[in-house]
Amino acid sequence: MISVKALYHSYTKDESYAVKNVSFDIQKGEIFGFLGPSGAGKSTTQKILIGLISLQKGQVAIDGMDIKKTNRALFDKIGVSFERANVYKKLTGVENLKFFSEMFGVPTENPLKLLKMVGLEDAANKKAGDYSKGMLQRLVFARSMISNPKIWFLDEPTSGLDPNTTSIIKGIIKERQEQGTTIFLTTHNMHIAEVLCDRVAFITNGEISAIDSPRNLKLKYGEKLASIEYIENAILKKAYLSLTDEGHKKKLNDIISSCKVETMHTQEATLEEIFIKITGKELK
Amino acid sequence: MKRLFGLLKKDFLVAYRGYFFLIMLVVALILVVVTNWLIPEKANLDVKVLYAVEGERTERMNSLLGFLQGAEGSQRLDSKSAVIELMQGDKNTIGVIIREAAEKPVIEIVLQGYENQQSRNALALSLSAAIDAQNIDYSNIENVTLQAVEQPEIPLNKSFVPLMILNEPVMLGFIFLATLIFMEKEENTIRAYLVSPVRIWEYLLSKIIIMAALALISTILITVFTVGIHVNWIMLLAIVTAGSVFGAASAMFIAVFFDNLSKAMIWIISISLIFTIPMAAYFIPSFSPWFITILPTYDLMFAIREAIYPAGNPQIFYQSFITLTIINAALYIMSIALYQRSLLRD
Repeated sequence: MISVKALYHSYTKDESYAVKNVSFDIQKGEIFGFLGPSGAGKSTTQKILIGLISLQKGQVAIDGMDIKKTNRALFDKIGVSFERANVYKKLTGVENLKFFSEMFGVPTENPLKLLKMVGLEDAANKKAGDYSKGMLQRLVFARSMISNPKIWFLDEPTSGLDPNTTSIIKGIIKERQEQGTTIFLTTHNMHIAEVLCDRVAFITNGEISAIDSPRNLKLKYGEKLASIEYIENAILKKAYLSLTDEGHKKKLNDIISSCKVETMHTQEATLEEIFIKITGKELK
Repeated sequence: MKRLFGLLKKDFLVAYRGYFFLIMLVVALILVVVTNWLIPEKANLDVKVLYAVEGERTERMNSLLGFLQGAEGSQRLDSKSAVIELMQGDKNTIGVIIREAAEKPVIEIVLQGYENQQSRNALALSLSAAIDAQNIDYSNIENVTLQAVEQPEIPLNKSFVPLMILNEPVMLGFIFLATLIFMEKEENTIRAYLVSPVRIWEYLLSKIIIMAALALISTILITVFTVGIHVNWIMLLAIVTAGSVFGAASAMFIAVFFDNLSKAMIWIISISLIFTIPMAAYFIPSFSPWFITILPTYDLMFAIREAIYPAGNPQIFYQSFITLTIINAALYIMSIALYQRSLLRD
């Protein structure tokens, strides 16, 4: 559904690239996570894909069409949820959605149904200017579904939302995926990516460092650890020991045989830890 | 068409809730009240002449003094210093000092300093004619008036209506459109359009149509409640539409270069002031320096007047309408290109 080959972009139009040799393919019905810290190049890449920045160098095809040759009818197929809520503050929630539903040339969703899905049915007739930050975020998310997009771009869709609403949004994303929607998810929330994405790409300094499923990345770069709390010489101690390292395995055996073990758990490396391990950078 | 209607509906709602319609109606109402009840129907706008004779009065001065005595509101004073003193207190006066030198009357004209060259020449000619009055054979003079039209006298207050229409529906549209675009820029809603099938030309056209509609409503209200219904409506509505589109297209063109209203404010105010400069020439049509006549609002102002008070000069309407149509088309096309470029900034 989305094919990106050797994508470059420079805001200064010189060799200083914000995006450098980025390539990936996204299959129909896949949730693809684009992960990286602020300024890594993920927003630039997404803006090129949705046509907000013109393509300088490289090839991008959306639904099999080269974006350099497509017309605006392509936008009937895509939906975009922006991180910064950009709605008409003087219109109500339902008026905002009704207005955008008239902009598309394809059958659209019922605005009230969408507002209900994101928990805004009670605020449907309230001016968007009176919405809280979280409500605005949900309104933008609902708007991005108005045209039943085949390809859905989500930029930090759960940013600023409470855990309950986050869980609802995650459920909607999964449901849309089951209906065949292809989803490009830009985030620096590793937990969301881990739960939702079929594959993720790590991007730092404009370049992709790794692309794979979260599971494969963990298998490849992560290691199984044992977290153990024990009492030795009347002192409570804590240790994280690798289950693959011979020295750690021996130490674990010693602790079990000679000390009083209080708690012991096995745990996997998180996607965030793997990101740090691969890129050497933290997600902020 | 579905998209354009959707955009129109939305722009109408945003303008309505932004009190654009209310502001337009209130301003129109104020202008109606000012025209009908605050500006008098008649006012003496003639300049008063203060004159004095220095030295002896002679026979040769008689015709000139007779002319000055007969001038409405003229006043004879004792000395030049008395003339100047009184002139300082009344800016609507000029002074004439008469003396005799070498057996000829010498006239010194004291001006306030802001009179234009045409006024000075007219005054000099009047005085010169007064001196020679007795030598003129009136039977040899034939007055010829070009394009003579039977015109009822326009009361002073009603003569302001074309200016009000130029100001309110046309110029207010300029300010409103800039406000509307900057509101969307600040809300960043324009990005949401760009990821929908909406075309830039539809987005801009919808705003122009709303501004033209506002201008027409305001024009009809002001005209009906001041001069009545006996005007050339086709001409008036056509020229106001062209004028309001000009105001809106100019605002659109300016707005593309700025991110927010505060950055653009100085330009918006300056340009709207420049557009209203031709109003200075409204009551003195002979005052027409090139820097005023090149402004599209100059012809527009007289075209509006022609539509309300026909003076047998429909050419001014056609000239203004065609010029504005060409300028509007150019501004609209340039705006589409500039918006596309600035929104898809690399």
